[in-house]
Amino acid sequence: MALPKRIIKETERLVTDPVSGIIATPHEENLRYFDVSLEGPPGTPYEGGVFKLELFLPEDYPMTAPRLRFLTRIYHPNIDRLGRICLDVLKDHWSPAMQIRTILLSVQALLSSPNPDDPLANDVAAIWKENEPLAVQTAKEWTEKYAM
Amino acid sequence: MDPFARFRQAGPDQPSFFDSLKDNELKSRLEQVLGPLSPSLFVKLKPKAEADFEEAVTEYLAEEDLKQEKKEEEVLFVDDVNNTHEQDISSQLIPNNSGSTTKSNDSDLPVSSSIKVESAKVEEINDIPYHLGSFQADIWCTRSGSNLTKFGEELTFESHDYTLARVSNSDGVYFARAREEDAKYIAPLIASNVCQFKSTVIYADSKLRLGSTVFIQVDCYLLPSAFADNINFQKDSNDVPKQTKKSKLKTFDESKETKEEVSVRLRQSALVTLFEKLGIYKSNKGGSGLNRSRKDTISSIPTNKLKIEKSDLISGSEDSANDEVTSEQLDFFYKNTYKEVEELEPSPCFAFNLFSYQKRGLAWLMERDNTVNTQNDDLHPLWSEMRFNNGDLFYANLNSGELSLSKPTMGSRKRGGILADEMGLGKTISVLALIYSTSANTTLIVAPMSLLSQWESETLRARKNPKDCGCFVYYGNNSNLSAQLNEFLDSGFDRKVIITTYGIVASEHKRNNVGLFNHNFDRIVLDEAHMIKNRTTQTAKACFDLRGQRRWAVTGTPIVNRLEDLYSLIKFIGIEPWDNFAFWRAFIGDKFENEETRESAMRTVQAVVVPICLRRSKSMKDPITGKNLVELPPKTIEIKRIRFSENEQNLYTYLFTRVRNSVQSKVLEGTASSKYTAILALLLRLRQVCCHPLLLKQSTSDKSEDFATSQPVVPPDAKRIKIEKDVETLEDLSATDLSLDSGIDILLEKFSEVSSIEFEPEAIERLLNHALEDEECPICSENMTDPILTECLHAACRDCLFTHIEYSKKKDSTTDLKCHFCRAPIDSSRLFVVDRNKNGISPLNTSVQSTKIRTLISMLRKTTATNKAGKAVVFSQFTSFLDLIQRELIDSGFKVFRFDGSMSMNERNTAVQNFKSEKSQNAVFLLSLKAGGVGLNLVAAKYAYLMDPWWSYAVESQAIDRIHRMGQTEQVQVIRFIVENSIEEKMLKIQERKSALSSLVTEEEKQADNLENIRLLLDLPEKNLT
Repeated sequence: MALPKRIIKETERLVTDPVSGIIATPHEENLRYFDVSLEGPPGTPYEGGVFKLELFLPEDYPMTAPRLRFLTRIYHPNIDRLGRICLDVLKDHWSPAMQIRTILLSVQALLSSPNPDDPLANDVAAIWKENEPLAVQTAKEWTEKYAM
Repeated sequence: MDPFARFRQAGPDQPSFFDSLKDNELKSRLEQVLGPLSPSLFVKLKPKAEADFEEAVTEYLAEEDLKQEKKEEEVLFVDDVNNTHEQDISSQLIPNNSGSTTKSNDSDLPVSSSIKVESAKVEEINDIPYHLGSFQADIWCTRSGSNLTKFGEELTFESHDYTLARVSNSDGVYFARAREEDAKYIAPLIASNVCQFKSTVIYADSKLRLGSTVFIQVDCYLLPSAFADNINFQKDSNDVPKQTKKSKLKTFDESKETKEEVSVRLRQSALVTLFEKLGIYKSNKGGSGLNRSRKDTISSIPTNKLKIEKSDLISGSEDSANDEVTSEQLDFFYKNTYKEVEELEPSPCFAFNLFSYQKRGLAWLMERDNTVNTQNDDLHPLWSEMRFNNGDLFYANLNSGELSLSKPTMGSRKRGGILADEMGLGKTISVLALIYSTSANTTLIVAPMSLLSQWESETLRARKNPKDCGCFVYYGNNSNLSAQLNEFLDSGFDRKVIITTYGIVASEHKRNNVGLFNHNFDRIVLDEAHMIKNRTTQTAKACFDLRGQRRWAVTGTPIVNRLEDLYSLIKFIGIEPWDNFAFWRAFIGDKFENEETRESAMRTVQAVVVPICLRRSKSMKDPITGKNLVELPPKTIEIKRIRFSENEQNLYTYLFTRVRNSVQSKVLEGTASSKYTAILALLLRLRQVCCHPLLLKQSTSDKSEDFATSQPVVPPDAKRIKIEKDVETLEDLSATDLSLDSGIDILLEKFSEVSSIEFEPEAIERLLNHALEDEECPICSENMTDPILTECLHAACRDCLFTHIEYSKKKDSTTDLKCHFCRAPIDSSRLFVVDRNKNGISPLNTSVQSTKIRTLISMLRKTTATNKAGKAVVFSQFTSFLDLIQRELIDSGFKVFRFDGSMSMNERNTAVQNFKSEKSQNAVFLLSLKAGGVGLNLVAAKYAYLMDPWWSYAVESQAIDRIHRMGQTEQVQVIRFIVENSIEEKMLKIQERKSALSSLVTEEEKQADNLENIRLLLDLPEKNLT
């Protein structure tokens, strides 16, 4: 199937007008598949780390949300050990007016404000709630260990 | 075995002894002599019989004889003309033989002189090789007396009524009759002048009593008249003088079996019995042996009779036959109808180039057009070779009772035939090539009205020199038409083509055969000849009566769905003897209905059809090049499944539940089969909602038109139910007319509800100030096409937004629909457009657009926007739906053309012509499936949209072939719209079932299947219908 104009445009714009801290490059053999590098936002335990993600635009994009997954291990209550992300805009709150750019910004924002009340990684969320400093410390360690 | 044993057993009767007999003994004695007695007759005879048995019986028999003679005077089974003719033949060989077969009003008088001459002549018959054989029989005395007959005396059998065979002695005195089982075959064979039974007394008591037995030897001779070609089948030919036509048609159509047909039937079974009794078997090899064919024939006769009686009960209906034909069977018929002949170049005055296969077709057409008698040496499949006693051969048709001394062959005696090439192989061109390549002067072409102008223009386009061919369209209300026709026929053209419609032919036939019926044409061509498939229609009858030497039936579907369809064509061409319906029915129709004999019926049909029919299909390979006969560009057929909008779904669900309940209650009442038509009306409603809910609101007149269109779902049997239940049906219809239902009204209102919202003036201002079209759609990132707004005033392309709405509903029907942009909750029925004419924002008229129409428009838009642009045709079976589509398409800027049954011929032609010549690629042609689905050539279009499914796919396929046929140069794309989870999806399933359905045999099975279909359509539980 031919690539919809929208995907082409978005890809172009990701190059011409990049978002700071985010690099998304499509695979040459599959233009719906992107390699994403995401810098850990400053002032968070993830600062200084560069996280790899994979992003895939399904057939019915933009009617359905992109698929997005962390490839780099990360200690975060809303991201499980398989890299799956619990984020509303990737699910129910997706709207076709959103783009790759916006969705990656949402992920960046998620790193800034973890939400242990709606967890995906339960063990992480538990520690985060009981002992936040410990959790932040572990997150930092993981960032150093896996993302640097 | 002692031949006299029975005689001794019967013994001489003792009158005095009877006094003490009980009634039943008396009755059995009487019956022994007189045959079966009705109780009333017995009561009448009893007092006398008790007094004097002999006298009573004699008296009764004398009375009966008298009655019989009277009846003969009145009836004379075989009509006069026929009879004298037979006698002419027979008397040449056997002078005065006639005394025994006719004119016997004074039969009690001794006619010794003539009898003597006759017996002398009988000796002569011995010399001519018609002696079949001999057998012994015993006859019953019907009077007492001495010296009535003696050993060695020659007796004469006589019969006039096909049931009774009386015996007279050499003095001409009737004294005995044949036993019933013998009379069964003796009587008909005598009465129909087939046989003579020369009888000699072997033993007789000198004093005979009533009921005594006389033993005789019977020598059977075939009379020369048996071979005369005057069997009654031929009487129903096309060349009947006009004055007899009325009566002919009457017997043909209304009384299923005429007297002639009864006599033929009796004669046939008598011959078969006699041959068996005499041990005459067919001597030719191959085919079915006598035993088998006898089994066939004998068994076919009672059922035949039964069926006739049965269908007689249902007056006006001829559709009791279950002869629907499956596609495999069709293939079988068409096998071998492709002829290997040399190519023939058309006449130089013919302007078109022909394909190779068309040139070969022309050769065949020319041959059939010219030859009066193509000789074919094979024995006719219905005939058998038999031997006389002396070993000489003769031929008998054990199916019809016909006899012949010369070998009957399959030679087809009529000019003309069936050109049944598949659609799109250029049948019109082939016929024109034939017209131009022969010297036959006048050709009458009868075509459906929609094809009239096509024929005219093609005919004229085919000529090089105006003098070569003149063309006259015989159509219109002009009272001068007939005069103009005469004028045209007197003109100096080399060839004269008269083109008319079936309607004109039928109406002139009705008006006592005026106009066309005054002429005898050199050639008649029926285009789309399946128009006359129902032989009882006015049109068919009219076409049968047209006079012309060469008779051609041109149709892509000689068998539409029933074997009988083919009969009409054969009747039109006049292929004897198959053009006699009784004959057809008895030897093909009935056999086809019977599982056991179906195959032999099919073989017979094939034998009949092969010499007169040419059929090539598109998939056939050219024998020389090995390529397809016609390379058509590929076509793709896509089933576009669409989903109801919310309001549509509500309406549909509501209606569906109501219909389902209504049908279920009918089923529980056990009236489902009788209320079949009413159920169909309900189903129709569901189908309409699938197209557009507003169709429910259509006026009654509109509804009835649609309803008439929906008839074919119920093939033969239900049609009859309709006739029977006509009155009831009408009541049912109004009682179940759902459009008056209040619940539906509410839902309909909701569907058509137009919501209004107050917007901020600034927002309106902003939207009016710049064109949304220049903005990028947030969904597809392209400039917005046909932008619409949500109630929060966020814009997107119409298609994009609707796709979003669709996806949101699919994802989770419980969550509210949200704006694609701001995620505010929105309502899919409250969408808006910027309306610059009104300087404001107007609600998007979703109310008038059903999902189907919306999808159609968006698809049309898509195709016109791409480089694959092309004109489109749109078919629907509901003209009221076409009206709605038309309005929407015009609003959306399409160039719309229209073609339906309500338009006059001129309007239709103009529409077709305009569509063809339209340059713009966004031209859309709206056609009603019924009026525009056949015949038309619309290769100017590349896209076909079928808005609603029909019960049988064949009809849709016909419609598709309007654009996918000869002359189409580009790939064709077909879209069939089907609403998901609706009755339409079920209809697709029924289409798939169709071929299985047609093999069902009995009425009950058919009815059961119709009910099964309804069950399928409404998801009713299985148990309920059984």
